[in-house]
Amino acid sequence: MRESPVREMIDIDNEHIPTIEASAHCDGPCGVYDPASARVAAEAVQSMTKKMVALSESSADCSSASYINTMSRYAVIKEEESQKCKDELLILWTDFFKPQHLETIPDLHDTFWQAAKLCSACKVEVSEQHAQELMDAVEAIHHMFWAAKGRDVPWIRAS
Amino acid sequence: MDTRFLNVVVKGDSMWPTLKQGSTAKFERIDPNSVSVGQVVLLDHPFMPNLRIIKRIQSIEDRQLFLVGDNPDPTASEDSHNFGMVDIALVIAVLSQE
Repeated sequence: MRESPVREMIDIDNEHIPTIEASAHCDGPCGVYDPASARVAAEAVQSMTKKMVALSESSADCSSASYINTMSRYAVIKEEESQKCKDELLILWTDFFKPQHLETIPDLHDTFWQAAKLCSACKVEVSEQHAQELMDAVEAIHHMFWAAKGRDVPWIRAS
Repeated sequence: MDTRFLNVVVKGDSMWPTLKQGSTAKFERIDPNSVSVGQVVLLDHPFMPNLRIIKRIQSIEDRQLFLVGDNPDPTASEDSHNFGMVDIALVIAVLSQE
């Protein structure tokens, strides 16, 4: 018979039985996930959206090369960061969160689905409302994520 | 002390919903050759001798066990999908109640 190290003695069911720990872990390094990546991307989307709106409302010559160049760069960054945000959200949704999390977060799937849709909306539109809604969704996911890990991590924005 | 049984504190969710993270499960030491398909077993990790793991036996072939977690998520369990079949002699105990 194999012997295992005994960590401590406890009394369960009025029996003195050795107690050990055993692993029932996932296949990957589950400690590396962090919703901060999605938050940074979402902030970039919101920032570019605000810059595009501000530039369009300015008195700049919209036919000038510098205007077109500036507006194009804002649009490209908004497009890229929207997709990056969606990618980061999908990693959290499909890799970090597991079926057991639905016990305590019943709206998990809908929250992620709506957040991913907002990423798409921010790509195709110049909408400050949807950019803010995306930030709100990422904040909600931030709280869901850290609650699932049993930690109280405050929501902090870089901008 | 009753050495026939072991209380095992579960670390991780790969055996969810049968065994939840942080719960304590009672295992019974057995002759490894007596295990059967479907049983939840406590065993030594095939690559890390100081680590004990809990998995369910999905199949047995030539004294080799194919072990799986109960969690249906494809990334929720490090088991025979990762480390392959394991020698039956690594088994320490079986879950005494489900």
